[in-house]
Amino acid sequence: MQFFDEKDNWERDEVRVGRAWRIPELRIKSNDDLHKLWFVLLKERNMLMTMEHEYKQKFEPFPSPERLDKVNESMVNLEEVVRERNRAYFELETGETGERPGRLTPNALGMNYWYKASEHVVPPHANGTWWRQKHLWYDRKECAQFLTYYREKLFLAKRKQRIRDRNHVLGLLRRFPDMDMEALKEQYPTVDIERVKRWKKATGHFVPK
Amino acid sequence: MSTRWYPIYQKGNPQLRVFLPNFWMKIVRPQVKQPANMVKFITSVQMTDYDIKNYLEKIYKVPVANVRSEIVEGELKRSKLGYIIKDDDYRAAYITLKKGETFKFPDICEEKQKKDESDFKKAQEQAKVSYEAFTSRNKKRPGVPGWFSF
Amino acid sequence: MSLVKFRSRYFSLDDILSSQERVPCLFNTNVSFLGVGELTKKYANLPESYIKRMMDQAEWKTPRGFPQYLRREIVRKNKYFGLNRPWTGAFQMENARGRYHPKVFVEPIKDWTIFKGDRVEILVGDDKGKQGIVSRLIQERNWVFVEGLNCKLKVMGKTKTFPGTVFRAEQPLLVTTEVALVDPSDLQSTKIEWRYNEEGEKVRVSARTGRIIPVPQQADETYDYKSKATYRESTKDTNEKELTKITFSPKIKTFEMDIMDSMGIKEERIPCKTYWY
Repeated sequence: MQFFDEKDNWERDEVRVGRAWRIPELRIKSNDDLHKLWFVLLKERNMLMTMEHEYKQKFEPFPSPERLDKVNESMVNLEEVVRERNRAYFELETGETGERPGRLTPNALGMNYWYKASEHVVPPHANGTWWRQKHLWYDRKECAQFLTYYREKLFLAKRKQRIRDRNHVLGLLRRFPDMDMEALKEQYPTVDIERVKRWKKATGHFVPK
Repeated sequence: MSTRWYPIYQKGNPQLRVFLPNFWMKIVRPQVKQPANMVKFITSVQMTDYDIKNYLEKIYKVPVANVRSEIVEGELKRSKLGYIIKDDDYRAAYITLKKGETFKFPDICEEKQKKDESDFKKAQEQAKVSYEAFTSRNKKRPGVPGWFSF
Repeated sequence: MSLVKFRSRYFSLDDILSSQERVPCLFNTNVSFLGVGELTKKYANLPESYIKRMMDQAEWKTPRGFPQYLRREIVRKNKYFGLNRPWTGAFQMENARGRYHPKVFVEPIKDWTIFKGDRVEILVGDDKGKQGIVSRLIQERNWVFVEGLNCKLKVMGKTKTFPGTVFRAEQPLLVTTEVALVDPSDLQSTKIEWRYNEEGEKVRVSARTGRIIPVPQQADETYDYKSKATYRESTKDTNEKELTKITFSPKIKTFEMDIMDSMGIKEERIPCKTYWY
């Protein structure tokens, strides 16, 4: 069974391997090669999962768990390249991307979300079940109160963050008066540093030059 | 179309094929003793028995005689803060190999445990021995550093 | 679970939300505290997802890819960056539940100037005025460690019968005020500037003498290799010849059609019309 790692790696604390496949490297490979590579990666992932499970059962640390992330990253990249090729074909032949269609619609609470369309045998006008189940509309009257509260919540969270940032900047100015102001502005764009600099909270206990 | 979209099937349609399957599967040590030709797997929940058979035969070239599988609900636990958390569900599959084939789950961690234990013990003993030698040498002249002798 | 009235039917709030993919973020995730530094990531040579996974220590996550689950997770939020690397177990211990740390103020820096392998002069403490080589960086805290300098004695493994072993541990120094880079031309500490040379490369220039101070080779060192040239391939690595081989040739086919052709699968049937909505 190919579900297990090489025997040399069983008693190691660390198994060194290279990095994941990147998208530009996969783009130069033919479809056949990608297809083969997918199964290599799939087998590797199964192997790693088997080993991880066994080590966990025996209360031992699994050597180099980042291998799983590397394999996953490679698989995601490979799939992205395949989709890219298919998209190119569909755009050339049909003028559409061929991807799963979707649109931005409000849900029953009046909040916008990305609705992912699905495939149906019957057209929408004949599909009563779908109309009844999907609520892609909302009652403005009934949701108005909810939406007001919801937006208030978002606003308050944002304001809280802004105040927190400002207070942090005050602390920074107090501790490091000779700091690089440009870097500070870059990191905290919401804070008006020129204004805040003159505040009492921003000046520490030191004799001015 | 995205490779992850599985199209609906109608009579007369072309056969549905998956070119980049993302099903996962792992062998686990069975908790109850099993016959020599029985292997326990944990697989993704979406797999059917036919999928499991095909997966093993086509990708791993394992001769499969029979597959039985069931969905096992993930364990419910209570965390220290009081909320309940649940492990993911999984599918446990028991595979019978074809006549003449046997499988034994390898002892992966045992060698490592032995090696770790022996290393740790060796270092511990060595430290103890060297410290005892030092104290016994300096028994009659306490407080004198170790280098103060020939 | 809150219920929302809808004419004659009742929905739970979660039922409605579960159908949607992008829930607007309720709270701003832009925490004032810095994340993992770029230099740390470079040194780790690990996938970002792995570093995140190790730092989060997720107690529980809803299964992804199923419509009935909202994206919910129980993870560590406020991370404290100390002496330990973010992907290690020691970091997890430091950030375990119930461990609290004082708030840390880290001075924002635009361009990082001191790298591993640089010769620096120490400006504070007992070793003030001494020069040494930078052995380690912790970018999240603006810290550098100088080899063999600014040390503290530590005792390890002390028991009733065994006095333990004593060793010197290097202590961190702030990169902004506590160390200064040494100009290799006259071995004096100097301030530096980032400028562009004639080839358009960004170089460090000594503000006093105007000479270029090259970034040392050790700066490219990662956990896995000292330099890219000395990296030893493992058995599972793809060698460079295989990696750079171009096998792609453009065809007017989808991936599936191409694979079917190469496997000799012939498919003449035409799928029935379907509707996407």
